[in-house]
Amino acid sequence: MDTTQLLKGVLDLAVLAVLREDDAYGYDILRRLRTAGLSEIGDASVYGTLRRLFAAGYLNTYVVPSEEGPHRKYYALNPAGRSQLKQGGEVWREFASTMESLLREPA
Amino acid sequence: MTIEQADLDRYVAAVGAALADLPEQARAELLEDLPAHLAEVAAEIEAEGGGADLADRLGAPTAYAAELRASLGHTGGPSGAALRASRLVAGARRRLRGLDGRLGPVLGYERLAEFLRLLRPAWWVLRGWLAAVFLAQLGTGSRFGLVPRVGGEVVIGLLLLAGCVIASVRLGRGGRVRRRPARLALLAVSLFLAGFGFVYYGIADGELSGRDYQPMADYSNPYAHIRDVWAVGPDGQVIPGVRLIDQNGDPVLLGDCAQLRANPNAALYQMGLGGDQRTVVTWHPEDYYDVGDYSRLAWRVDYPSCEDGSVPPVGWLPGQPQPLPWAKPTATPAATATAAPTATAGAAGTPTPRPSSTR
Repeated sequence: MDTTQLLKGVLDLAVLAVLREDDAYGYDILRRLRTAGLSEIGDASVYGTLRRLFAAGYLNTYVVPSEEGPHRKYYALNPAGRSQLKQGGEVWREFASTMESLLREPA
Repeated sequence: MTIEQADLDRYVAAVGAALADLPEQARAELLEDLPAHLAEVAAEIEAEGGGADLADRLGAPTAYAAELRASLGHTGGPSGAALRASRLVAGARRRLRGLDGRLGPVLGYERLAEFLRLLRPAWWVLRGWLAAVFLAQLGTGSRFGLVPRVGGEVVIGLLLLAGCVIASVRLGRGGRVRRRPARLALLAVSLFLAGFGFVYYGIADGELSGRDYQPMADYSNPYAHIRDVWAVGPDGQVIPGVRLIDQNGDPVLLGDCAQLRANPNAALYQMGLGGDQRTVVTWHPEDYYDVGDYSRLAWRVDYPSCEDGSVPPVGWLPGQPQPLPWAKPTATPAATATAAPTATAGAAGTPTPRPSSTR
């Protein structure tokens, strides 16, 4: 099964999760996600998700000038984003355990 | 290799085009930040020693757009009829944009829309005028006019006109109406007034061009000004009993008396002659009599006598019996009518010195 299909449902949560510890700019977020193991993820998915989360009011942004190259737009979790991450995490854990029990081979 | 701004713009435009079917707001939200984001990403990938151009680093714009679309939950885009409809809309929009760009230079503008935008205040005024005319029409029925009149009153009409124009301009100037129902209502009213304007324009055109002006005189016809003809002898006296016929042998019927007697059955004739049906002439005999029969009636005119049969005085004619200067002893007009008159109308021009010889 293609992981991109699975990703669609949880990309929001994944992006919120990598922003939990530290603010990050677009490409940095992509790198973190890939490093974490979501190697098939593309820049467009991350960008689209960031825009949507921002529009939904879960993220704050600020621009940091860069010495070489263009400015970087940093994304940061705001309180709404944190509570969304918390709720989403709970839903995910429940869902994952359901799937786990469904898929468990009978002993 | 650094990415040029132009390359970036082209890439963003291509992504935008691939997302043309998305709702305008969603699309704008996506594209708003994309150039900055892509510049940032391109710089990062370059630092990592990535591909030479944007497509190498990020994939084809269409693929990027597809991924963006997926991240929005518009997985695979709308399906079925909605997809076809949105494609049609996108296609139409693209064609309109093309037309916009092509027609603009004809008027000396970059885009036609630029010019049309300048015309908006003119439309507001026109809309106000149309509203006033329409409201005035509601009250007075279908009276046509360029200035609205309320109950025939121009002053009230002008006040109405001023009010409507001011209201329309203010509405237009106020920009986009915030609430959706109000916006739709305004659009509906505007469209209705535009339609009304088209109809009204058609009526105006019909009224102005269809108005049948009778020419005062037919200048191509030297006889058009003739209202009455009398046959006069060389002595200057009216010759009673003379008959004038035209080239077809039909009686020449000119003058009020002849017209009055056109139809004995007509109310006008009955009123004019008090029931005297002694003389019967018709302009269009076939309307009332058998065609073969009308000459019988036509020749019974005792012209130019009127009403009581008396000969009107002709004071302005020379009293001395003299040949008329243009008169030549020519043959009398050949009567070719079915019922050729036995006595030809030769009196008027014949240079006969004796007065009233043809009586």
